[in-house]
Amino acid sequence: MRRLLFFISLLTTFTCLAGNKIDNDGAKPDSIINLKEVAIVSSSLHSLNTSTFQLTIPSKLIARSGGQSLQELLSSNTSLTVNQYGNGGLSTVSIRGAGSGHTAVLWNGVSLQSPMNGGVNFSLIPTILLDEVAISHGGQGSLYGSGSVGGTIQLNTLADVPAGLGVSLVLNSGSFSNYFSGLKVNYGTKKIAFSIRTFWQDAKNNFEFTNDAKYGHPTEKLQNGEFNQYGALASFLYKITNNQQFTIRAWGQYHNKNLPPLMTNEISKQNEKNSDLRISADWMGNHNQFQWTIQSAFLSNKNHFVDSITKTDAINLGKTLQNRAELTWFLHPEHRLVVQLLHLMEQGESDNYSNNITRHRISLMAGYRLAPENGRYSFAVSGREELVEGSLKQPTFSAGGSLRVIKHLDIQANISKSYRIPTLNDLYWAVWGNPNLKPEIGFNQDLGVHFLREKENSTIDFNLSAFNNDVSNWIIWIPEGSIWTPKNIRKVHARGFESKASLKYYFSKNWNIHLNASYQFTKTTQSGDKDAPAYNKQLIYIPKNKFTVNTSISYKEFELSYTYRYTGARFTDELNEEKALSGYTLNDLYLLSNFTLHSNKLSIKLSVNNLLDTKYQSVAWYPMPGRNYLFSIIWSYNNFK
Amino acid sequence: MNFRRLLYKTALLVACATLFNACEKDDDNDPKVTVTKATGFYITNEGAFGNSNAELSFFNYSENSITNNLFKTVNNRPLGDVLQSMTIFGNKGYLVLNNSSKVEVVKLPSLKEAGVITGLVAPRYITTLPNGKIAVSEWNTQGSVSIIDTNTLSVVKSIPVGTGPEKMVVKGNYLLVANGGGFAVDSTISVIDLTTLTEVRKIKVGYNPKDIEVDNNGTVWVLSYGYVTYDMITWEMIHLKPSSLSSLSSDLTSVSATVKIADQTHPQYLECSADKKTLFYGGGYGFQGIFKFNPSTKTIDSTPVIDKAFYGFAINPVTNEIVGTEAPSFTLPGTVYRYTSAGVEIANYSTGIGPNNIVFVTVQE
Repeated sequence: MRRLLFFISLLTTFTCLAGNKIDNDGAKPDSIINLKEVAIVSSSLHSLNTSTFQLTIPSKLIARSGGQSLQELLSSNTSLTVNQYGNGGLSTVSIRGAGSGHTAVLWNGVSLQSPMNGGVNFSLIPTILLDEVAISHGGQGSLYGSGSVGGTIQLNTLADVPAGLGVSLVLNSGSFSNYFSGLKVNYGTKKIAFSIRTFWQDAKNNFEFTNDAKYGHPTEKLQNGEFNQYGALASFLYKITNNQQFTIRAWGQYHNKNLPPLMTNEISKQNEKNSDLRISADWMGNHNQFQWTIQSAFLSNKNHFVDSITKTDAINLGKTLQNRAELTWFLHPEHRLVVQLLHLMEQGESDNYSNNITRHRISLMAGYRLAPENGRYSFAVSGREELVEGSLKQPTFSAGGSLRVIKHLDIQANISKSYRIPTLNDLYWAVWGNPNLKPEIGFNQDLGVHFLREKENSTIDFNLSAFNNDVSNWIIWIPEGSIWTPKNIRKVHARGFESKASLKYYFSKNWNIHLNASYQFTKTTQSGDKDAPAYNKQLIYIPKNKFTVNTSISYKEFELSYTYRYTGARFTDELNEEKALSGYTLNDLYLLSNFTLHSNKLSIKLSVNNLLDTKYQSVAWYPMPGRNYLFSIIWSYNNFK
Repeated sequence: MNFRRLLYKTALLVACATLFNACEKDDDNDPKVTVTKATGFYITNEGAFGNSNAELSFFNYSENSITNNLFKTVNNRPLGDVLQSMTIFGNKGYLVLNNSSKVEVVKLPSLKEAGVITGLVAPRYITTLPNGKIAVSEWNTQGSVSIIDTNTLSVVKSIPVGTGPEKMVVKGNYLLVANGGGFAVDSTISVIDLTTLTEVRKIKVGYNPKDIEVDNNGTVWVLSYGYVTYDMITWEMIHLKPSSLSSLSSDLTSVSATVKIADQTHPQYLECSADKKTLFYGGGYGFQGIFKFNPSTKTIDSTPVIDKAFYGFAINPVTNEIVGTEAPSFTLPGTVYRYTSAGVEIANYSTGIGPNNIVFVTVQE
């Protein structure tokens, strides 16, 4: 606790010191920049992102998702490979055939990847805490730092709420005794904005399933699957002047989950508890041709795993302090320069380490963007160099741009080198860790076309992108004598293409239809040594084919939405010799209706998930629920001016 | 994902390195059976902990070939999580699935599913008993041995023993259980009276007895792994107690002789030659070589028969051929090696993941 207080005071000191240098000359903000934009993109780095495949989940969908987790939101609204260890269990994401640690996840610019294992559990992020979710495919290591090898997911919690009072209450009740309640309260004036969001969830998760892994194929109820969680996220924004603001966000949550047995197993007595604290403070502003962000964040995760059968009782405590300073210089309306200095202090405490580990990382990034106002073309280039504990790591870069070839049609291309530095577990696991590990390196190229035509009553948006990514120095744990040790030995060649199409059509003022479809093909195989047994074999749990279609029809305040998702077969063994885990299709349906009375809005949603009661597994022998229902009510009130 | 697997792997490798079961432990009770031919051997591939990819392989001597993935091929479902051992009893095979907490029963030789034994916690090994019963050692919260009626596949009685019970052997009217220590430490053999099904005494032997055999003179030999811990600062292995071989007195009340193996190396498996005049020890993680022990002179050969580290090994009960297994990783297949009794390699074959145990199939001719 004392250490925590130290961090908080450090963080506040840092921010206050920075704050003292404010130059209050009250000059008019540059026409290109305004604070609204600053708040939304949260990082000026985003302007340098030239990814050929980007997806933003509409805020409306996030707000409607009510009591869902980010895992559910991503599974039903994107064609990302989301692997899940059972309903409500550990969930990981793979983009463009890369590994689960190869997706950078940023919350308002703060990296959420665990310093100890490099992962993010998407089941542990409730969407009620988020306002924006943006996914960009392709390695952007020079922009987003370590981890962005396959892609990047940016999560934003907006602090800039409108002036006035806003209240929103979410109540969910679903199959298998799943109850969720959430409350959001916003209050804003011209000068300040305050928001608090709280949530609570309790789920028995005792769904029935046919157990095809057991003798006699019995029908069973999932045992030891219950979980509960609660938490809060508060934000406070202070508008210092017209062109400067200070924001602080604090997010705390507790998640307690029993882990059910695999389908082949009779019992499980495993339990896992996660306690998270994430605090971030930033100061953003602009003056003449400059725009800056100074941010400091502290994150802590305590993971407590207990298995009374194997007599395991392990506590892992990971902490990071992240300090970021970013400056954008608008040389000219068409040219901008961005520099970023990032410092991370990572700490790990674990019974698996011989002593507590502290690691310092400092990186410097510089980028340039050329973008004429007519939008005919744009070009961005950036580079980053990171020092880990004082030693220089491999420099990374990215260069990309777009060119409008004909009206509505852009061609985009990128080339970049990305990296992921070894985790504390890889380096410092007692006896087994390998302190000589090098960063994993990704070298990727992509080429895409983007067609966008917006008319008064229709919008067509189409994206097609082909990618190629060679990952080397991929760290895997291999046995060496009597121990296991991680080594930079795997080489992977990931390639494929992805496409998405969106069509919106307004028949009349009351009627409209919205169609979304996406398809992706991913071949991601082990390369390198041609004589290795797994050479040219598809990586496990990466489907070659993924396909989704979503249709929604709206009439006045009613909406009917239907989603079809296909996930292709996945290998579970490295040699691809065993029968692959079967592909599956899921069908989801919901009906939504809104009622408005004065400043009150009531939104009622009835969802039927897995409509056709498909038997499927995301990860082998972790059962998933059949047809299930969710009833959701969102009441909101505001007196925004 | 990787981290969780790693945790499991740690638990698996540090604390529960697998043991091995090759000779039919109870066949000294039935001297009328004369083994004349070994037609082949089953290989239990434990799979990766938490992945439900355990499988059974069979090596056929007459065809000189190995067949993998037998259980799934025959029964169209996975066998389970961590196949620890297999025991043949009558025309059935009993497959002990440690992390699945169950025993799958299959008909032999078809391997068609024939039932399942549940109500167990972390089972390890099976020994056959008179009157159609079998005994299962379980790590459980407290170590125990469950007696199972093979007609009903139900637990007749669960008998508390020491910590981490492993291999067992029947001697007269007694079941002897090696309390291997499991995740902690133990140094005893439990003596269970097969009439009353109660533990009558514990005999103190060396630290962490993992395996137990009976030689040609009817003497019970116990292999103690020794006791190892790790320095909390440097994480180097500290060898607290040596590995050893102990014989039990004929009245099963005390240790009659102890032969120290080594202070700094720790074998896990004890096997016997076809005539039971020679014992072999070796195998397990980090132990190099298979060594010969002469129980009548109580001497260990200083040079190993085979100078290689095996995950497990067994001796053909007819030809004395030595079969050793290698588990290079728990994501890729392992290898089984065949050697002559003199230790010359005959051939090797690719198996399933983590081959740990060999069970010979013998016929009378």
